[in-house]
Amino acid sequence: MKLIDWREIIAELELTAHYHNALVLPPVYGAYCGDMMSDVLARARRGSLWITIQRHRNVIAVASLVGLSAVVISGGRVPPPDTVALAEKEGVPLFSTPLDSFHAAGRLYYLLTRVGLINPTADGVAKPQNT
Amino acid sequence: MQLKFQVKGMDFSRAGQAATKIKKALQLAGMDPATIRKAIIIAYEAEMNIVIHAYHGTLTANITPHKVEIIAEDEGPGIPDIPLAMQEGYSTAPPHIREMGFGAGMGLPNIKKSADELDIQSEVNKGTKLWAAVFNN
Repeated sequence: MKLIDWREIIAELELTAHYHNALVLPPVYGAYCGDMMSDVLARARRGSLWITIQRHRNVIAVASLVGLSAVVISGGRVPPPDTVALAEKEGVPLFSTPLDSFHAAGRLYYLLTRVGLINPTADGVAKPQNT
Repeated sequence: MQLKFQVKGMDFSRAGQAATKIKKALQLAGMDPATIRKAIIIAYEAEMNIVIHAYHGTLTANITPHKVEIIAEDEGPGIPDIPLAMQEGYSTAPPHIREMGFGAGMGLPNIKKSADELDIQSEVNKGTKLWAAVFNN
């Protein structure tokens, strides 16, 4: 399976990293956009990158529980220090972007489609990930 | 194996920690990924319900090779109408909680969808006890 190079994700989504250690960035197999914790918990797939406007530390708890690849806080919002600290502790890569969620997702959708991780005609119907 | 955690109402700084620890224990126990996902949805939503709605409570996980039980017991306002609370979209969470991405009225429906067995007992002005089981297939 082809994967997207993280350097390309960082450049295309104009990401700023908010982790200090030499974290190994996990593969990105897809993405999920959502600002409601329960929605992301129930529907996001493992290995997805999560785009959200939320920046409190519970975002990290949800990302860790689901097994998400990374969290991107959109719209030029910057995570507070306690969120950054928890992300470090849990090993969740945390980024921010000046792009709004729509444009961040759009650019990532293009990247994922190009390497064949998204099938535009078959994917996209939300379904619970608990079965 | 039993894991038991104290959960304080309105303590958002520690919210989700109990569910995270339960997840790690389930992974160490070698549970099926689908079982883990269901169990952590229940544990997290039940933990958040205590944080958002109750004064304090406990979250317990009983883990056996065939089954995970999640038990959330709290002292709090209780649920006057459980069938109403089970409806997707119904929530009594205040606006500042909703702004954080909670209180969408998805918590109990998420628990119901994930649990193989579920029982909720509640007494107004006293508290709520939620018992849920997920079978490890």
